[in-house]
Amino acid sequence: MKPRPVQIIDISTRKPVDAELREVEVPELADAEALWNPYRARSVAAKLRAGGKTEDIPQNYHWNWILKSGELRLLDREVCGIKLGNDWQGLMMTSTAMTHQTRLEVKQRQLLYVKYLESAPWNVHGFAAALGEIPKYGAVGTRLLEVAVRQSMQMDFRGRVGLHALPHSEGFYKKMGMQRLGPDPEFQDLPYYEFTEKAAQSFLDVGV
Amino acid sequence: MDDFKMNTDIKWLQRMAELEANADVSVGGLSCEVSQQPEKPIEGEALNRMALAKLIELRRRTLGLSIEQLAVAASIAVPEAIALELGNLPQPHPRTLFMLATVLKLPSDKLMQLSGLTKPRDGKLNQAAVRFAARSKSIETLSKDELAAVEEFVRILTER
Repeated sequence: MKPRPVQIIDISTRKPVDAELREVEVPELADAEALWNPYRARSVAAKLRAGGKTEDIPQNYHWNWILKSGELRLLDREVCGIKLGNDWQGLMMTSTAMTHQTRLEVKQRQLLYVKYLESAPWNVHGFAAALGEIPKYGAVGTRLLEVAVRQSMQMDFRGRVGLHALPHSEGFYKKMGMQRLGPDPEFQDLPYYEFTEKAAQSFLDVGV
Repeated sequence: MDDFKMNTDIKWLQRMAELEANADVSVGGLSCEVSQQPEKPIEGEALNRMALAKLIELRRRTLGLSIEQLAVAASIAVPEAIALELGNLPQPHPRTLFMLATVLKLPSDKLMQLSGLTKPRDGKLNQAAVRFAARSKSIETLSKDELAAVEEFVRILTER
């Protein structure tokens, strides 16, 4: 993917700020984790010390993009990210393997599958609030989903996108207009969501 | 796959940011990588789980913690901690293993492999687990041999 400018929102000012969208190499995933991992850990520790329940901890608290990087040896995988200054604000791994097909119809039609997606922990209320902070940047998840939809269209999948959301993330994907197809017993019973072609176009044009 | 332009409509962006506010957007598994669980545990995996149970017990005792103290520090229920040390918890939650790893100062990814939640990357861990399980036994205070066994197993776990 060629680097290109993209804007996200500075939450404190509600104004757009210029960032960069581009493909991410394996060493850069380590750069991201060098900052994300300690922030997640500090947040979890703060939450638990303050008497928070373990079920309130964001469900991606133990993620590690360095461990996920091994999947990039597969030709169907790609990671892109949004960078502001020196810091990665969001990462997404997608798969274009032919095995990913829409479950919304009997006819087998391929879609773009989002394998992993994460906004930097300082952008996530569940992490930031535990440290007494407000999230820094908004619309990072939206922008990454937008990339998935546009890539899907480029590949003639017409915007069809599928993903397994973490339970805490379901509200966001429902708001974006994706259709819920229920818990997937072949994937840890995680809820599976898809964009129809119509919903994907609507998401790009007007939002929701 | 990159001849596209991103939406430059600022009102759209601001509206989407408001919709995304306070939301979690994470997509992916509940673990870094999760293997398919077989219906019946094979011999090697059963031994790894025994090794995990014994490791948790002996490491806890090395650090001078009671089961209750471990449970509180790891934010897990005491019965769950007991079941883990007895090897009676067939599939601990990844979150439980992560918290235990933090308290016991062990690599969480290796605990995930021992529990069967993820696949060991090579046979070295399995071999070490078998040796450790064979050498350790439950006694009030750690013997020199038991302490040596724990230290050797932890050394192997923390090797890259």
